[in-house]
Amino acid sequence: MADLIDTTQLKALFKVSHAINSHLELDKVLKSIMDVTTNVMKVEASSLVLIDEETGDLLFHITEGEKAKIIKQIRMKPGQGVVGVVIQTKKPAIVNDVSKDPRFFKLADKKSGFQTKSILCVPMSSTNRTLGAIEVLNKLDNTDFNNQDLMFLEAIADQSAIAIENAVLHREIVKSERMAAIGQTVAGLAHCIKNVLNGIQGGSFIVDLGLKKEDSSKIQKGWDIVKKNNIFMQDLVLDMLSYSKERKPEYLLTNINVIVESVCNLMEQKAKEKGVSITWKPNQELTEVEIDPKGIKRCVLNLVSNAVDACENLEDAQVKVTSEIISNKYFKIDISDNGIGMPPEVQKKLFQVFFSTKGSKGTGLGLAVTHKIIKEHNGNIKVKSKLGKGTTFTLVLPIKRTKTSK
Amino acid sequence: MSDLKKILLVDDEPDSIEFCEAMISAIGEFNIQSANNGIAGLQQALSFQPDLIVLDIQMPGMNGFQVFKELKKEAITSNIPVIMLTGIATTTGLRYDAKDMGITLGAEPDAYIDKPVEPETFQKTVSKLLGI
Repeated sequence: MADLIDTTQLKALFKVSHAINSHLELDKVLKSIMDVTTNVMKVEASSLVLIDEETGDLLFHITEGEKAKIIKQIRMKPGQGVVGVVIQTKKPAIVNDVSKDPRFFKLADKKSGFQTKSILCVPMSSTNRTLGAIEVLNKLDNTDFNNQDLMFLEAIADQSAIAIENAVLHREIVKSERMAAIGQTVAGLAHCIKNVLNGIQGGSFIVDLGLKKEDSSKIQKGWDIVKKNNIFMQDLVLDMLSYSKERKPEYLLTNINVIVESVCNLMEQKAKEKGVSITWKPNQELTEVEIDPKGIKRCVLNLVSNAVDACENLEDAQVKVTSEIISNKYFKIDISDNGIGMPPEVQKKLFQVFFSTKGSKGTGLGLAVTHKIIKEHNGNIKVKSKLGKGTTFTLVLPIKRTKTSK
Repeated sequence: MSDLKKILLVDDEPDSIEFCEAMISAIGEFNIQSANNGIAGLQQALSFQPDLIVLDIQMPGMNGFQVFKELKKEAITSNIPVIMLTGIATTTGLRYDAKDMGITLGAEPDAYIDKPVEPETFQKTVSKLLGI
């Protein structure tokens, strides 16, 4: 019975396990594990030793006790000292009188000024490799280390190994996600640029053809295509910058209805050409709101433009835009269409950069930029859509900037 | 008119259709029709019975890969040569591009031209597939 770990130690193990699951920052986790170990085991000093992956040297990664700072700077060769032997043999060691043990590395004491009397050291291994070891030195009550201490320290070493493996795994996941995101961004951007280049190539070819045939209408047509693609390229660059840069919104007291109305007027011609009618119903009580007018105009323009595209050439195609006061703190703008709607799998990817359902006409940046601008305003963007019935986008924004958003 | 070779262009971008028409008209005279989406393209392929189809991949609704698969299912369109145009940015090849978009291609299209389309390559491919 004496060998079983006691309640205090069990509580400590629970604390360690909790620390592992609450943080992903490895050094913080290991530090709290070693704090708990030192306190519960009532020892003068403790160290968590890791193997340097490049050189195989032993590094005192976390150190506790009076001479912790000096000990942290010591490097030991593989197999050196009690800790080196424990790591090499993967077997724990209890040394209750270091003066009688030839494995003891005296130089560490000499360098640090610490006087080691007794050592308990256990290896720390993951499923497929030895990561290092944990050692505790000199019990405060000068008693010997026993099997109960050994069991507790082995449990601590197991938990530390889990924490280290978790951190390595997390680092790898973050790295691979970053690489995937970069790859996706580059591919999306390349796709947009290829389409623009195709437009410029096509326009130039038509201009050349017109020059050869002395056909001025062809020259004009080709030139128009080149110009259109230049504008598309400018928009693409602006959207990319809005998306990627830490942009500071320029907040101004603005009549939101005037902004939305100007978008509806701007889109009217395009909508007419596509057989779509736009209706705009403002709430007249909603006057001045504190927003970045350029940013919000861009958002509304993106959403109205998408709504028009979604019901292009459908019967009785309508886009309805409304503004409303939700409370004394928030207002909303609804942009609804009775167009093709979106299946759930498309809705899930809506705000993903370079995701587009518009073929070569879309950059896949419009909604990503809109989402970013609304979030910068501490607002929210909601979408409701039913396939074949239509879509409603709702922008919910604060009327005034709160202290946290300032 | 009836002796002219028939070409169907399927692309959602009118400028791209204009570009293809211009490149083709520089080779010679053809009977050209166009469709601005995949479904219309498929219907026109059945009714127009072209000698060649130029098909864009990235289109809203039914994309070029889906149109291609449907064309290969129908007896009267399965033997029409197809040139696919794409702005997809991968360098892994057509079969993998299709896989990325969740489509397993059965047959291969007769040609695959990357955007920006190089006129000489396009014109040579059109001439070759039409046997002129």
